[in-house]
Amino acid sequence: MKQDEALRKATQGWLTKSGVRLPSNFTFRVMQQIQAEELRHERCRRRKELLVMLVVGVFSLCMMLWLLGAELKAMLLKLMTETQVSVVVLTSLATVFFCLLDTYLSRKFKTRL
Amino acid sequence: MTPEQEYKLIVRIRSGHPEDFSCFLDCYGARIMTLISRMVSLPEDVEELVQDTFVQAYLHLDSFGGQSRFSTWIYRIAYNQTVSWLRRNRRITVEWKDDYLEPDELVDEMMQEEEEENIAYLEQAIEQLNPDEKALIVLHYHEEHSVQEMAYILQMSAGTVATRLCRLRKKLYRVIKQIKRDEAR
Repeated sequence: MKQDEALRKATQGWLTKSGVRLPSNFTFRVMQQIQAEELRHERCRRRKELLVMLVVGVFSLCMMLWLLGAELKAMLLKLMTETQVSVVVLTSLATVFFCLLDTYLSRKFKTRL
Repeated sequence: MTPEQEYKLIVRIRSGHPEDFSCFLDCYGARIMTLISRMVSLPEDVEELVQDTFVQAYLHLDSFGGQSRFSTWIYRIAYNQTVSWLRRNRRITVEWKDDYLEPDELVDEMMQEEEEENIAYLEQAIEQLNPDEKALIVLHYHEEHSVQEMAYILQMSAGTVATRLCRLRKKLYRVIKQIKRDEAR
């Protein structure tokens, strides 16, 4: 059907009549929309991850308590009487530090995988 | 843009340079708009659909496996977006009738006759087609996509595309006949 010259010409004529044109800021607007969509997806992904982590965490905790409840209780009581306060403080500080480091690094090296 | 350049650009975008996607917007924006504007009438809807097409293309860039050219892939997204939109808004009534019995020789003759009068009639007839048929016209006669590429864009077999193009020509012939009959009255 390559020989349909009349139809080809008619198509060109039809397309030039009252054709809609792209606005001058089209690229800018689409890129803005893409950024917004990407942010929304990122937030959604993070929320899902958090939810999965929460569910897994709660489930694991429940299982641990159910299976090793008595032993854990005894262990905790022993720890509370034997552990020094400085160890608890240091552990908490390290946890906070690593959380902050994770946030900083994920912002700095944010890439699409 | 050559397929190699497209591939390099996609790799760059995937490795954390989303701003490079604007090259695709500059390159294909107007062409995608041409297709959508012939399927949807309101300019605001057209613009929204073009934007959505590119946003969807960006978000699903990871699923582009290079089995086709980027332009063909984005046309497929644009076509899907538009058809879904038309269905949602109940503005599409696609019916591919099989009762076109017009003789091939007469149809061929009309499609080749480059007189101004005939071209004007053809333009009028194209305007009366439904959105799906208009898409076929734009893809084949304006963008000059091959039947295989069109089959990929429209998600149908190459045989179906060829049959639809053939029916389309016959339908145009019939519409022109009708226009001429109406004018004679």
